[in-house]
Order: sequence, then structure tokens, then C-alpha cells
Amino acid sequence: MKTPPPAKRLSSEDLAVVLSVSAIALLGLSFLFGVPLMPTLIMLILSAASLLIYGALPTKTETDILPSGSFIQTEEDYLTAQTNMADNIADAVVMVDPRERVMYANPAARQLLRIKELGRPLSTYVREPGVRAAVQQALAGQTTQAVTFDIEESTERHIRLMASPFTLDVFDPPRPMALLFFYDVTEYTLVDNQRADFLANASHELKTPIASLLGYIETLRGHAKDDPEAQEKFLGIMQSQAERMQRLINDLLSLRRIEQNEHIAPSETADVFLAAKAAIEAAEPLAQKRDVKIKLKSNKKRLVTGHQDELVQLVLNLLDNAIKISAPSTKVTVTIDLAEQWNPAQAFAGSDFSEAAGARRIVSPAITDRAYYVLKLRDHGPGFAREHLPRIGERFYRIAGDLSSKEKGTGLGLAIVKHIVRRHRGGLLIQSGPGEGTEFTVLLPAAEKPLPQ
Amino acid sequence: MHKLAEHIVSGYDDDLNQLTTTLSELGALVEAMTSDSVKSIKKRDSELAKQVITMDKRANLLQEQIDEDALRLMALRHPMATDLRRTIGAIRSANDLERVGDLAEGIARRAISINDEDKIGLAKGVYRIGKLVKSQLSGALDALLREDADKALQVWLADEDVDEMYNAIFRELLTYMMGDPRTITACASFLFVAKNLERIGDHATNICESVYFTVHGKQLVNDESLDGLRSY
Repeated sequence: MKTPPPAKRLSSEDLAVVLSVSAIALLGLSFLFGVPLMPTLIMLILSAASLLIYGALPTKTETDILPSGSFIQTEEDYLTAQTNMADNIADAVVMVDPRERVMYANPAARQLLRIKELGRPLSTYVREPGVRAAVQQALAGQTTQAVTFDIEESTERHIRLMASPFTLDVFDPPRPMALLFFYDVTEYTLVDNQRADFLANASHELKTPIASLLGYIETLRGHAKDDPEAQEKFLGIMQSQAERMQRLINDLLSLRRIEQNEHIAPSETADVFLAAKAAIEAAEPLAQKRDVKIKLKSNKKRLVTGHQDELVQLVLNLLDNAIKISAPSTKVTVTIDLAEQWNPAQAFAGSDFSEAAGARRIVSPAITDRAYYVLKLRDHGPGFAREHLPRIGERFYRIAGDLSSKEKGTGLGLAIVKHIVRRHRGGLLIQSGPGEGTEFTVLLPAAEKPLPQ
Repeated sequence: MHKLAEHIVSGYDDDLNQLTTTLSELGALVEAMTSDSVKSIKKRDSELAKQVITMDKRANLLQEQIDEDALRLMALRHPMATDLRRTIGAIRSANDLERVGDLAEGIARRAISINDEDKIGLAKGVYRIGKLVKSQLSGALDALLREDADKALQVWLADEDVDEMYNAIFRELLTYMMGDPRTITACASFLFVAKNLERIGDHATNICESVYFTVHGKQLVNDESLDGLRSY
């Protein structure tokens, strides 16, 4: 539907143009026809005066720029609309008063800096000296340079701050404030760092299998040229080396993908029970080969806030490790329970490990006293010696003499588990003792409304 | 009359806020000293180590300022209940933070002598405990400034990981020293650095204990509801 063009109205500008044109025309005419100058001058002065009056009038007022019939009528409406607007800005916005107290923080800022109440000094939330300097500069009315700083929550975040002076003129006298914009630049910084890390890790770990592949190719072309038996054997070794490289590349890629998204918690709902079931099915062939039984103890429908595929990978990686280190004809048990109000006191409560066993929180859950699903994975393998526990989850850390280095381990399995847990804002605990086996505990935040059991 | 009352209350709040701000400044300073002192070993940067040593003066000054401010606040405003605990907590935490500054300075001094020697690749464990202790200290400071007792409890519990890591490093360095006596000088320095870091971790838990006291009004170590929290 077309909107009708607005009715033509004589505006102040139009009027001024008409008047001045007529004045010049009058002046010209008086010269041409020899009319006495006096009346012409009077006309001129009149038209000039009218121009001045129109010029002096305010051309636009605040309400003028709003479309007619707007719901914004009073100054109060206008302020509410502005706050409303700031509330809905996706970037974090904070206003501080001359005493550096937080006077306003939009929801994005409350979340980013974990601000619970207004009125406390900004230094409660950010300790970076550069931030304070920038805020003080802005309060003094100066423009400032951007400041970048880190905050450590469940994951490390890099934040850039722009502070600008701002006068709140609803007060009399007007008050100088500082308006702060915080931008999350984690993604950009991480991409840079990770590219370097990734290249260093990948090239280092790929060097060994490639060197061995090249060695065998040389032998196949030389000494073993006419020896079919040796050829068959070498080709077998080459295949397993190539497969190792493939696994390594797959692991590196998935680690990188998870790491990149780590600061964004998943928002969808996933079922841990189904994830565990899928992982067990995938691990079954390896388990049968090694004569290890896998038992799952869980109710159906264990809904968490999470990413289904990542949860499958999490359980699968843990299972894979457990099966590889388990002795034949033992079993691996997976249990999933609900902890309605999880707190750190429940971490290692009720475990069947001896006093000599070690325990460690690899990732502590960020929020306590909420509902978590607790997935426990227990094996009866050789267990880890205490001094290894602090390094579990470090990438490429393999325990010397441990079976997993001879087997198909890439040294990345637990690093991937750790990053998946961090992304899910969950927890990862380990308990292990030599001769007792190992138990991994994974805490995953239950979805908002856990279904009645 | 009303205006005056408002003025008094706001002055009191200002004093408390000032205490938080100074604590935050001192915290940021010793946090930076801790991570820079470890970095000066990692990057073999003796200039950075010297900077850390000079920063300690400022840490001492800030601690004195907090002491004075807190004393003045108690003398003039007679804080009660939470405010009293908050003020005492500020004094105690400032004391711990100042000690952290001294320990970081000790690490920086040791770094200069380590950097004079040839490079040896034994310091990996030291960087790891450095990273852990830094995050413990940051956690304790977050808990302190936000008065977050849950966070304090979490940091307090995680201290056993620091102890465990220190023991692992101790054993590791001992093995190196036995294997090759030429590494003894360097390893002894690393042991000293690791010990200082472990002590910084202890001060972080002290801060957590005083946060817990500020919020709940009872001592964390005597709180029976938390019995059996430590796993070993």
C-alpha cells in the first residue's frame, strides 16, 4: 500500500525565499521605473526583519523529530526509552559516577562482569590498572584509548574497553559520568594464539609417523624390492602409521573446533543417557577384542544443557581410555545419577578408593548448588600413580610406560574431554590409585526442568 | 536535617568503597607481580624481574594505606556486624597480599640468578604451578572483592591441588639433581621458586578464609557443616 504524500505546507524556509526574492525584484523595479527609493527601502527592511525572525526561531525541537502521534510524549518517556534501548544493546554498557561506582549496567554487562548489585565501585569487578586509568581519564572529560584486559571465569576471556566522557544533564548542575563499552574480543585473540599452537603441535606429532613412513618406502624401493613377505609386513606397518596420523589429525581438528567455541556455552538440550548408549555401542568392538565388559547403569531421559555429538565424543574418549588400560575379563561401569543440589562437598564423597589413592579436580564447576547430572566411569585397570594426576588432561601428556602410548592413543583424548566439559560449564574429577583403577566423574548442568523420575 | 543524615551515610559508604578500591589496586598489583615473576623465568627476562622488585615498594605503601584507612574507619564510624567484619577482613587480606608481594619479589630475585646460568629445560613444572597459583590468587581476589563465599570455598578446597603439584615438582627436581649433579644449583633455585609459589597459594586460601568469615560470621576451618570436604 502506498502512503499518500504529505500535504504541502509553507515552511519557514519557503517563506524566507519568497520574501527575499520579492525584495530584490522590488529593488530592481524601482531602479527601472524611477520610483522613489524610500518605499522600496521600507519594503526591504521589512523583508529582512521577517528573515531574521524566522532564523531566530528554533527550527527543530526534540519532539519535532519524532513522528507525529508517537507514544514518546514526555521527558520521562524519553529517558525510559533510552534506558530500554541500552538494556537491549548486545554489547556490555556500563555507566560510572565520579566516584567510580557502577550506576548503570545493561544485562550484557551484568553477565560479562558478573555484576549483582549497582552502586559498588567498578574495581570490585575489574582489577586491571589500565581500566581504572581509562575510567579516571574519561571522568575528567578526556577521550581515551581502548584498553584490553583478561578476565578468568570458567574460561579465559579477552575484553576490550572503550571509555568515553558523558555528561548527565538531567541533574542541575550537570554531572560528569563515564560511559564504558566492553567488547568480547576472545574469539579474535584465540584464533591468533591457536593457529600458532596448532601448527607447533601438529607438526611435532606428525613428524614421527612420517619419518617412519619415509623409511619404509625407502626400504621397499631398495632392499625389499623382490621380497614379497617383507613387503607385506612393511605395508602393514605403513598402514598403521598412516592410520595413526589420520587419528591424530582428526583429534587435533576436533580439539581446535571445541576450543574455538569454548567461551560460548551450548544452549540446546541433549540427553546424556542416549550419548552414553551411543558411545558404548561405538566402543563395543574394541571392548570385545580386549575382553572387557561395559555396564551402563542409568535411567532414561537424562536431559542436560549441552551438545549431543560432543557428549558422545566425551563418553567415547573416556571409554576408549578405560578399555585400553583395563585388564582382560574386567568390566568398565558407567553410571549416571542426578545431584539436585551439587556442592563441592559431594565431590569425592562415598567413593570406594583407599586412603592411598589420589584425587583431583581437573575442572571445577563454576556454579554450585544447582542440579547436575553426574556421570561416573570406573575401570579396574592399573590406575595412575599420584604424581601423574596433576598432569592429566594436558595435551600430548602420555604416561611413560603406560599402555596407551603403545596402543592407539594420540595424547589428546582427555584434553578433548576437558575442553568439552569446560564448554558445557561442567566439572571433571578424577580419582585413581595404583592397583585400584580409575574413576572419572563428569558433571553436566541439568536442563532447566529435569523431568520427574 | 535529612540532607545531613544522607551525607553521613554516604560518607560512610564512601569510606568502605575506598577500602575496596585500594584492596583491588593492591590485589591487581601483587597479581601482576606473581605472573610477571614467573614470566621473567620463562622468557629469561631479567629486566622484567627488576621491575617486579621495584613494584614491591608500592605494594607495601598500599598495605599501609589500607591499614590506616581501616583504622580511621573503625575509630570514626564504629562499624558494626558485617561492616566490622568487612573492615577487619580488609586489614587481614591486605596483610596476606603484602606477603604475596614479598614472595613474588623473592621469585624475581631468584629469576635474575637463574637467568645468569645456562638455559636448562627443567622449569616446566614451575610454569605449571605458577599458572595454577595465579588462578588461585585471582579466584581469591574475585571472592574478596565480590564477597562471594562460595567462590572462596571453592578456591580454598582447590589448594590441595597446589600442594599436590608442589610435591610432584619436588620429586621431579630431586630426580634431576640425583641424575646430574651439575644441575643442582639451578634445581635448588627452582625448588625455591616452587616453594614461594606454594606459599602464595597458602596466602590465597587465607584470604578465602577471611572472606568466608566476613560473609558468614564464622570461621571456615571450624564450620562443622563443611566437615569431610577435603578428600585426603
